[in-house]
Amino acid sequence: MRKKRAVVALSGGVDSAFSAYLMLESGYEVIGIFLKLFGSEYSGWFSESRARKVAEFLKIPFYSLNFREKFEKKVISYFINSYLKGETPNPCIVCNRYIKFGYLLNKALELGGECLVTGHYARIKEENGEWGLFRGVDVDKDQSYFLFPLLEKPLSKIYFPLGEWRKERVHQEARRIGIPALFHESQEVCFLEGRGIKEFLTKEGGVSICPGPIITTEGKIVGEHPGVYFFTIGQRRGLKIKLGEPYYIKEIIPEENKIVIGKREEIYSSILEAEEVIADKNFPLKQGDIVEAKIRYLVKPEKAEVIYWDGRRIRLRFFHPQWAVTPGQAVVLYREDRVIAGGWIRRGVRENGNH
Amino acid sequence: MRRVYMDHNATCPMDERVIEAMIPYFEEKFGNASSLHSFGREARDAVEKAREEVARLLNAEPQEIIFTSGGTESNNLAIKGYCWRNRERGNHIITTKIEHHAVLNPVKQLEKEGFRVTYLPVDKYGRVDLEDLKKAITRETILVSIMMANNEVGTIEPIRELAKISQERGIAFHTDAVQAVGKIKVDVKKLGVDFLSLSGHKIYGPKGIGVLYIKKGRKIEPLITGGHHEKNLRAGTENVPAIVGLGEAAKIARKEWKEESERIKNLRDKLEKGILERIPYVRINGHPQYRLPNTLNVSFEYVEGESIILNLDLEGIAVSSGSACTSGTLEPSHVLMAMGVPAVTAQGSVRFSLGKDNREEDIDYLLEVLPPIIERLRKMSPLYSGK
Repeated sequence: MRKKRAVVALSGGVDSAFSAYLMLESGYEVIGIFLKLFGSEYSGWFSESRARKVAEFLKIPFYSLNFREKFEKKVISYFINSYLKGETPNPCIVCNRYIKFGYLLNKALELGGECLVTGHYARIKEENGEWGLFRGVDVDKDQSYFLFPLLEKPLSKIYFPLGEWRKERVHQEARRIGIPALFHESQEVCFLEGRGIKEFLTKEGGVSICPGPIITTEGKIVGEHPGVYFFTIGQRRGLKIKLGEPYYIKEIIPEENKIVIGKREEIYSSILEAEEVIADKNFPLKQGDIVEAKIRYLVKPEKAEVIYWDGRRIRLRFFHPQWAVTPGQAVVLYREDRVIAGGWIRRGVRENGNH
Repeated sequence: MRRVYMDHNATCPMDERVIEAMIPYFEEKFGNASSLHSFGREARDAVEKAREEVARLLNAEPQEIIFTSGGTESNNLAIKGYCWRNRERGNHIITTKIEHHAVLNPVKQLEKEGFRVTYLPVDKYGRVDLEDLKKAITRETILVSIMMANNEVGTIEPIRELAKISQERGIAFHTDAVQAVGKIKVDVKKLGVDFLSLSGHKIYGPKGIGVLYIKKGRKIEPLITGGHHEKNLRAGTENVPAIVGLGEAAKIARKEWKEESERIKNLRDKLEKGILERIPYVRINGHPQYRLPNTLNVSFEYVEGESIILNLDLEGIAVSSGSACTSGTLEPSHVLMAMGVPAVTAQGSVRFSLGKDNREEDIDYLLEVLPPIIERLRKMSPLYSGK
């Protein structure tokens, strides 16, 4: 009998390499695919050659596929547009949605793959005949936040072997086996390739960046910023203003080239509005539901009540006001370990209705 | 796993006789062909013997044969070398839309330097029309470069007639014959060309060696300068083992090409017929008659060529898409586009190029493996639903 085939996205990093190893160990025929996503042939060469070495080490077929045009169209243009709207984009989620679990998933199935495997720290499990997306066992490394768009994908065709693993153990084991992968992966936005956001937006996005006013919520001009695109909500550093007490960025208005700052308490919101929400159809949301909502990767989920839900847009009221609710980032809803919905934050509102 | 190689237009395995001929020149006969001593003479003799073999294959004179690093360098040397040398005579070049990038890019470079370039169209089979060439010629035209046979679809151009048109007007004619040599008759005297490029590894010789035929009397500027090698046209110590290998490959090709081509053509025709019988919605690209005997380019509607190639690879069969260099991009092959193949159809194109090592069983194996792959891919294709 023919072995079941798994297609593994190999980045050159240790997580995907070890995932491929685990699939081999559990009896799959494994195919490795490296995605060329951005930059010149030369700039991606280093990771690609690592991925190739990993495939050679594991003795699996390896293909390097050119997804540059698709990535440019779906991810880079999104990234630039998001900045132009005054948001702080999250390109990894968009890449997961369209590239990795869109085009690549199709490619994996076309190659006769039973499933597409990546090195994400999250779990996909079948419970009572339904497939669901869950947090990874390693809570510090859990990446389910970046994966909410998978709720509308065929989850049974996707597998994350590292969901049951702790990162240190993966590293230990990979070292023990001698996998020739990269052990230090950058947390930067990959396609910036070490460039600053200014250089990227001006060169790749054709965006003109110029200084503009910093104003308080009362409308008073208190300083000048070098360009709105270098800032995010809740940021304090880099403003170069002295007002006696700390001020933080509350809002970015690119069409007026303005940054609005506020005192610490003004940066908290108890209400959050999100759009383009994707929900697990097995866990129908309804008004009055209490959920755990995570508003950016590096914060813990917090309790909130669903106060509006129409199937695409959601409004949440947090039990405790949240710091720096940032348009452009995602809000992901959990029930215990399970991801039940996710969407894009449009705005945060203070309880009294002032936004 | 069973492995079948059907990508001979990309490269060929070396003939064992070629390897055998080369080995002494890696070992005891290591001399520099320019040295005066016995070691050098040994190497020089071998280089000149190889030159004679290549000349014999092309019906050229040995002094008309220049060794280069391969087909790409030969094309660069002919095109840039001739245009740089003859700039004062005119600034217009004519080529076609379906050339290999080893011609298109040197021509583009010249375009940036101020030359004007006309890219001739082709018909739906990939053939250039003689009238189009006549119309394109101006008083400024100094060079025409048209490939002898296309690498992607195998269409053979009417080089003899095209060259005659240029010669009558005193315009130099270059042909990239990298895919033609060893597969069809290539006789520089009958063709009447001034320059002809060939490559070692496309005729079962080594990689990294090629030839530019330069008709006696045609003057060019060298691209690489240094010592007095290759009549001052290509400096650099001769790659003696590769030259010896190319000489041997040329000798074998001269003696065996006809019989082999016929055998391979039968296999190719069987493959073509088998695909047409077993798989619906396919389109054969290339000329039905004027086509290399080993080449079959097929568009499988509603599927991506890349997916077919990867699936075949997983079954041990090596083929390529019409556009090896643009794998995965939305850019379809420039050759198929010039032939008027719709972009979506062009995306589903696969090139089978057969060679000496292929046997009938290979064709049977492919015909067994391919139809279920196409069927499976079509089932997954949103374009196919409803068919």
